Amino acid sequence: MNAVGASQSQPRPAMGAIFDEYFDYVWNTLRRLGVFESDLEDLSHEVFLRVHARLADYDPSRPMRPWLFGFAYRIAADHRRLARHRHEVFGAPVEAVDPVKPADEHIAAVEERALVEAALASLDFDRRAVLVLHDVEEVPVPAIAADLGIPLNTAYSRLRLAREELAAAVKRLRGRSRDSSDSRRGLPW
Amino acid sequence: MVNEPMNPLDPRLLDALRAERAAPADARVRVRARLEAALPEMGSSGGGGGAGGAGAAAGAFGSRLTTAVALFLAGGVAGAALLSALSGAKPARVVYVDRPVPVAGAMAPLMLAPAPVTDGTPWSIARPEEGPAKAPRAARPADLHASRLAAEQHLLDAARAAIVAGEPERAVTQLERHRAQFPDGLLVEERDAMMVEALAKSSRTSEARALAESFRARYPGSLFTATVDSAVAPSP
Repeated sequence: MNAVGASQSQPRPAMGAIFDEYFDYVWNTLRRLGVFESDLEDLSHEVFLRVHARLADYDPSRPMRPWLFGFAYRIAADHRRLARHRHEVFGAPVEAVDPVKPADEHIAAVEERALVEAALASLDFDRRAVLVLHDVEEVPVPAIAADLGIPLNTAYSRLRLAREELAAAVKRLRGRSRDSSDSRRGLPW
Repeated sequence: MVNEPMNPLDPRLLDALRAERAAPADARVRVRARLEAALPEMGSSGGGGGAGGAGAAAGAFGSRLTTAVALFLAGGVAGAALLSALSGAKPARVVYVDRPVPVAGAMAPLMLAPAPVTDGTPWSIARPEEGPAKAPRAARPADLHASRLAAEQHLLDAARAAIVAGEPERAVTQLERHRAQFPDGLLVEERDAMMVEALAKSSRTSEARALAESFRARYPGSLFTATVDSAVAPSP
């Protein structure tokens, strides 16, 4: 049990402790939900502001991470609705990982994790959210359906499609990465 | 079907997905500093309080449409302000007009740090230099412009919804909260106009009339003048 994680008799944790323990988690969750690197700092700040505003609603007998995920999810979704952010974050899904470098160059340089993150970024937001909730956060699908207010079948369908699309995107990116490497190796000097 | 067979993710993909990266240390320090500036209890052990404590639980993902509308409008207003700034024109007063009224109960929760709902002082149209001291600004206020504007709109939407719902006292509370959080906000003109209306409908007639008089002096030619005049006009 971590320092902030809830137990039945614990009082509500302090904001400072929540921040210290879960800043990385919030940061990673926002990133997984497709928030651009350049926006992670501001949106993480926003998450903790909202957490503070709602801390009285937190049930210390419940785990903290799923509760925090709800804030991150909504902030990422709101952020995405702003056209300028939608373009940045979702406009060119796979290549958007690092717009400074060409995709092939970027992919050739990153490790497996970055490649999977790039593939994740190519997924539709709603599907990605279900996949992150289930496969990363290990939230049962019925609970996800309830939280998102969607039919159970829809939640399962999104998860299935997200997994298929993620696997396909990873395969595609690996292919590009290999092609890029082969191309460089093929240079005569 | 719900129980259709589903291929699990490749374990290697799963491991990569679950890998946590440490956030940049400098980002952590900056965010913490910004939070400490906004939330005095950040460093204490007592736990934060809720801002109003109202609304849905954090796990509920409702009110998306309302939020989308608010943010869409925020983008429009922010864009207008940006265009004005880029054109070098005299800074325009940002006003906030003609929006759909949110359905009561579907209001997005207020998401800012709690601020005192009222300090007990009577309402007045304060010029910026006369207003409450500014809270420490975040390190990158420009980046927060859109979210601040959206937060202002949330508060004013809540006030508008309360007026429409026939609960002007609740509107007064929301508007006081706006004044406390955004003493020099972008939407102070509409806030003050709405306050005249809310006070009048709360049968606080003398306060409403005094505020209306200040409003006319402060905002000559305001789009809201007719609304203000109407709010304090004697009943036929």
